[in-house]
Amino acid sequence: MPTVHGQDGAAPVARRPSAAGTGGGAPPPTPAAGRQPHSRREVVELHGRLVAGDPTALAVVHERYARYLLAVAARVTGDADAARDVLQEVLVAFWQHPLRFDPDRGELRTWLAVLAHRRAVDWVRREIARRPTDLVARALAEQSDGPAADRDFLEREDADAVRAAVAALPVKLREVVELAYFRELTYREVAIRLAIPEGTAKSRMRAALSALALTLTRLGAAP
Amino acid sequence: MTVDPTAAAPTPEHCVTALLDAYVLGECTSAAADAIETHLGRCVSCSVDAAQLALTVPPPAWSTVGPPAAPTADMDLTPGGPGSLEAVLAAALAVRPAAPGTPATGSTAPAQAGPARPRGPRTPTHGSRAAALDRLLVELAPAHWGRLAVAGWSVRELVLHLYAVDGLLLAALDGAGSDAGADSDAPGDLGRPDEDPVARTEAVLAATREWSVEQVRLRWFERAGLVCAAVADATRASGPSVVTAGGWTTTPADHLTARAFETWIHTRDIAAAAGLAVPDPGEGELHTMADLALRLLVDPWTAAVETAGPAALTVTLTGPGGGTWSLDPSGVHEWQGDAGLVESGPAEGPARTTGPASGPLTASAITVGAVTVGAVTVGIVPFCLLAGDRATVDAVATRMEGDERLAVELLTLAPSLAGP
Repeated sequence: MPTVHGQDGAAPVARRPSAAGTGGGAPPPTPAAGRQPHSRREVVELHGRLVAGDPTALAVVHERYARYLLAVAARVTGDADAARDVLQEVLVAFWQHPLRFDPDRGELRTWLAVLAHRRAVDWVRREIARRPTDLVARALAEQSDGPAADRDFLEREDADAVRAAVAALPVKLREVVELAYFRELTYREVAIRLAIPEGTAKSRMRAALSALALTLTRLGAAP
Repeated sequence: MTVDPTAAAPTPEHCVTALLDAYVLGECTSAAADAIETHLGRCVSCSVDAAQLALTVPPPAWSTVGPPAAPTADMDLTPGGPGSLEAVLAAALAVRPAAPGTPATGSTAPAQAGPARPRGPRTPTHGSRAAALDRLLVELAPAHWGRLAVAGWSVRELVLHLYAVDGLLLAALDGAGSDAGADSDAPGDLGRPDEDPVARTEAVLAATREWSVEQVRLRWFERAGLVCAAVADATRASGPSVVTAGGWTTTPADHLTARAFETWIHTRDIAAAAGLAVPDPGEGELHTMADLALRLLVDPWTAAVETAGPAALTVTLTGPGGGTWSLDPSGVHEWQGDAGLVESGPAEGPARTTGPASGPLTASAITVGAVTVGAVTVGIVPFCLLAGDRATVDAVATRMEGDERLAVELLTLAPSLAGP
């Protein structure tokens, strides 16, 4: 499994989920080596400054915890850019709602890590919701305006599932897909064949692709 | 599965173990997730459980379509890029400004975790206390605003009381020529500088019945910022050395410290009414507040004890922000290490060394010559709460030496400083 080392020689952390998911053998992120966690008094003082609207306190939190939170988020998302976004979201949330943490009763590093994890999971869910649509759209849209259709999409091992999903589409959506994909027509040609504006052809294609993505996701056959 | 917050009803007081699976897997509603996160911030046990779950349970959704492509970039934080210090600060300050009066800084280097200035009564602090109360108000549920807080006022009315009294100072500074005193209100909305704070509060309450609680919060916070700016402006412009607001004549800096003090005390009142906790002021703020309280107390204390002849009391306030002060008929002086005893005073007044550098007085005897002496040691937070009339003398742990009557008089007088 590919790993990435944090600054200061932190323990290796999983760069991406395993094929079966993100759990399993990936070692959990650990704080940067050589840095002791804040003492309780330091956390109390830091939290007080954060509540009091002192941006330098947020800078201290960033300096101390950014690498760790980045590793936590990357372990879930497998995506460095997403992990950076998650890190930023967590620290901004802490600045905006500092009283949701109580240093007398909570543990700052653990709390921030849990927040980062949940936001990373949210990112994964959003990504999953987006990906089938994007990938199906990309696969089909590339064909619809191109000179010749690439039939790889239908030659996948789950092509039957794709054909079944297309067959289940409403007629007006199905005919656009069939013309654009199976007969390798461009949007303009589809519009002429169906006697509809080209924009209508495109909007029907978008609707068809969304429906296809949903169906394929339910079947577990999304690309 | 989606957790219905009304059914789950996670609260800050009760553990949310049964909800952690759903939370970690991202299967909660956002409202439930917020409530769970608030609980996790106050419960080590649940947060550790959640962290362990997070490290062991994979997000199952990946099994549907497989994980994303591995990141090709390294995990560095590019300066200015997402997640960098610059980007985090910019995004943070866009949703919540820094405390009013916070000096703008071009440096993004984090300050040390420890306090930058360990002591000294030279920094007005109202902006920090306003920022803290603002964050408390953000966390309040609608029902909290109607709860009784103190003096017969609800939380909503108490915030408007702060708004009203801030307005009196703003009016005083405005009348003294401060440009920053201009409010978005009509001038009459500030009140007259000599107006009684309670009467002014009643007038504000009557005039703001239609304000939503969010309007109350925003208008109060805006005015607190204007007060900070007005005092800073008056100080920079070498404005009047003293102004009168709410029937009290003193320096603008002392007025601002008093506003911070009252805002802190009422923040505690509101937090108690809502069942929440807010951190105490930082040590520099506490020191400034305690110094002001002692300076206000020295005259009534002298009047109370001088019937038996001249007296001197050493007051040691312990804890972050603490220090040692000497009270005698000549005023209040603070022991400042090698500098010796320094006359205590507001921000803009130059410090004046007035005492010996041999150390603070001790009071193992009851008299030194013709002077009756005493000493008292008390925590700085309890002392400030005593001065804010939020603690009783009996409940405050003290250590007294010498003539205990001197200390008892001071502590008994302290709550007299508090207003409504």
